[in-house]
Amino acid sequence: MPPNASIADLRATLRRVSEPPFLRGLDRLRFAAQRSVSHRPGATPVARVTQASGLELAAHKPYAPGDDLRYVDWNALARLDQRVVRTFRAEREAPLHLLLDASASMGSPLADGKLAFAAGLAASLAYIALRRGSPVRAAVLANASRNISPMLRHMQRLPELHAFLAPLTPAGPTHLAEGIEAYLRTTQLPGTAIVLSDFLLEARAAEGALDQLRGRGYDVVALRPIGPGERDASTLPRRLQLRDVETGTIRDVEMDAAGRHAYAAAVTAHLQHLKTWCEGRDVAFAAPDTAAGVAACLLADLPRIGVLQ
Amino acid sequence: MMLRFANPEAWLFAALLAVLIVLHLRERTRRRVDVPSLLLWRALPATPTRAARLRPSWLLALQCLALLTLIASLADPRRDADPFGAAPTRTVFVLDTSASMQAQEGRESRFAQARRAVRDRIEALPSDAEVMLVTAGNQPAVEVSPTTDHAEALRRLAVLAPVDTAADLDAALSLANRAAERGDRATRIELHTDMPSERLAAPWRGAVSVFPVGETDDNVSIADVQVFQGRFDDPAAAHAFVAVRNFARREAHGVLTLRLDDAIIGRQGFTLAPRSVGGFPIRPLPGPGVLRASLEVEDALAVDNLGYALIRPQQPLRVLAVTDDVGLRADLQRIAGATPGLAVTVIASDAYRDAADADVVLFHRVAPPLPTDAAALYLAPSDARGPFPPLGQAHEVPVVDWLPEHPILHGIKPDFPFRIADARILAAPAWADSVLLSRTDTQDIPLVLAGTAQGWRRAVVAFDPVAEGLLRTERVDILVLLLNLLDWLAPAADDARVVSTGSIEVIDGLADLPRRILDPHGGERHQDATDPPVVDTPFVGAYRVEANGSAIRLYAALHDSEESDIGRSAAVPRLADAVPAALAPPTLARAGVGGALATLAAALLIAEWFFARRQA
Repeated sequence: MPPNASIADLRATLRRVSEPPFLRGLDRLRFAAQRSVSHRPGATPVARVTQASGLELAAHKPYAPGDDLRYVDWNALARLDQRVVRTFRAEREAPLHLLLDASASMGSPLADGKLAFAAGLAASLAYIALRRGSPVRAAVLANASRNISPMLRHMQRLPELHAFLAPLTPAGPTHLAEGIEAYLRTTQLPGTAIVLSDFLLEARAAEGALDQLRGRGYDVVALRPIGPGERDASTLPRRLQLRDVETGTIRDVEMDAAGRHAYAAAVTAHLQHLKTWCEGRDVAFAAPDTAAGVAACLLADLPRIGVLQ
Repeated sequence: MMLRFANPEAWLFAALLAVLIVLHLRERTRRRVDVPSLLLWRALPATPTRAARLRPSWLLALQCLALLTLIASLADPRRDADPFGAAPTRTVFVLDTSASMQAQEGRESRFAQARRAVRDRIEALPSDAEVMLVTAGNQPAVEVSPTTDHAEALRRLAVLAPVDTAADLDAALSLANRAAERGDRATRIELHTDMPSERLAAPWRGAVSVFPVGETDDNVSIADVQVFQGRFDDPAAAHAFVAVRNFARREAHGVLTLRLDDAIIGRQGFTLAPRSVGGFPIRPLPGPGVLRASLEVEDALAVDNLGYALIRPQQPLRVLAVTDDVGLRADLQRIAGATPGLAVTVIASDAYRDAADADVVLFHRVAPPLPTDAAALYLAPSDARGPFPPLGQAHEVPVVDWLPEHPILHGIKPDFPFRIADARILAAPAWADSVLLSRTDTQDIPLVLAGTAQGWRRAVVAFDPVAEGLLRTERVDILVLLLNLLDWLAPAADDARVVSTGSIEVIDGLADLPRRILDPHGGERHQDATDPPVVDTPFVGAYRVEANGSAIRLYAALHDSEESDIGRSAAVPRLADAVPAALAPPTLARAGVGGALATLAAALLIAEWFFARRQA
């Protein structure tokens, strides 16, 4: 695969998702309500503070000695002659973590443009999050590498994300678990983690990688871009010598009617397994079609699985 | 039995086998494709690549077999089945040269197509094969006798041209069959024609290979030109009628032009519905002459767009009636008074000396010797010493037989009401035909005799028209018979005739001197005085026969609906097996298996497609 073709495709995608008409279409989107992080023990411990503070009223509880008198509900005392104190939901940052798989498989088939699609989708999601005040951070999943963007908290810094994504090229083997583990070591602020990968690795390895995020309290969204070239192999010639772009392994196959049928069944089973596993673990999952474009994913696929609204 | 190839050069296409194998090998080489992961391909069994050597493949075998079969069919293998082993063969080409072969099919005529086909066939024959060429016009002719000199045959073929007549295919095929009956070689008859094979006589079907040509039905013709003019009528009283027929299955448009002796007397546009006839009456006619009708129409066949008719000048007929009967005298005077151009002079029998410049001498009940200076009509001759002595008398005799085409009976057909009350029984002279005949159980009774004796026409009526009621309304047939007799006895001195192409005309009005004949195409030939005075008219147009300063003109036209109806369904050649003529005349001997091989190739291709589809 000519690397320049991938880079050009990716940059073109980033240009498209930066255009004002496209961005105006995203203005009405926002991330759906995230799980509260206020009552998770030990999540964000605050020294010498008995209860969380914030603006969002959570409940009332009977007054107990030691409670902060500032939170006593004096109106209730006056009307009901009961001493109750107000409790609040903590208001903390819920950052968006964009984890991109940039392995060689994301560049194959070339016509599908999976990496460019993933980068464009990541940039668009970052725009939506930043517009609503949520910080964004992106990382390229690689073996122990530290290709991670800074935490972006303002819309003005969105170009930095684009500059981070633009030089990406699909290369090397998939290191999903290692990459996620390395990323988790760099952040202490859970939020929504969106994993953009083709998950073309052993199922156990992929599941382990996503479990790491779940175990650390992240809302996990798994997005598996797939294009027509990967989904449908009927256009391939009958006699094939297949080469795995990540491992270089060669395999000769006959692409006859039975072969086409077996491949189609394998693709379906792969996607179905991912979906079933994710549903069982409260992980949102979608397999957007790269041919349909980033906009279709943002406006149809992600709202359908409850990530955006 | 020996197998030979008519087109051995077709085997050059066998090189395509190599192309087929190369394509097969190329198809067998694997194309390398990068995939994101082999995880999704684990369900497909691995088929390790071997060297690109040729491995057995049913499809390749079928493809090669189909290609070889196709090439073999193109090579046109022939199975010689004659008892002479590899003996050379003879092919008799019968080429239709009829008028319809002039029809244009696109840019060339049917005849040109057929001639090209014959030429190709001759060129494809082995050098030791004999060819014979027979043309089938109105008179079949052997243009090339059996010969192995193909170059000469091709030269003769190149100069052939169609004629403007119908074809006598039966006669031509009989000629060809005579060559086939010679047992020295296996012989094949090939007929190149535009005649539908179902119109071929039954004995020839299956015995003759037919190579049909022609398809278009685009033709409009002059079906007939008729002039209605009595023998004694003035041209101003005559009228003509032209029938134009559209043979096409679409509407036809054109212009009909009428000329009288080259002067245009009328032009009329017309539109004819598909497969219909249009009639165009022409009246009045300006005078005597040759009426020529021609069509200006865009059709495929031009030769039938012309028609002729003659408008005769009024020709007086002088009749000298020799009779003592007052009744006949009165009747003849009344007839002459009512018939323009007919002059009757009546004298008593004892006053007769000679014809006295009359055209016809009419003898009533008397029978002097045949006059030597005029035609003669004898009515009820009674003189036992005359040229027609009565042998007896018959009463109430019915008419039982007649010569239907004789002009004497013109207008009296079809049913004869004659029943003669009283007739003489005459002995028919050798020079006379019995035009009208009655019969008893024992003998024939000629009622009207006609013929030529001493250079003049003669006729005898065995009954007395006066006694039978010449001018009685219910016996008008007797009056018509009398007028026809007078007309026939002194025919109009025409120097022109209208004939149909292909007819053979006897020119009897010229002196027995060498004759010069000019045909419509400008050709000229001469006849000696000893040659029979006949003229063949194979082409449409005017012929001129000259002798000793006088001339007779013939105007020939094609009025043949079978020739003009040129539409044919597209047909494929129908080949007949060739067998030795000596064994099974008239069939010929040699069979091609190219058609069967082509069919086999098609079947193999279908089988290959079927298996390939199943394998896919």
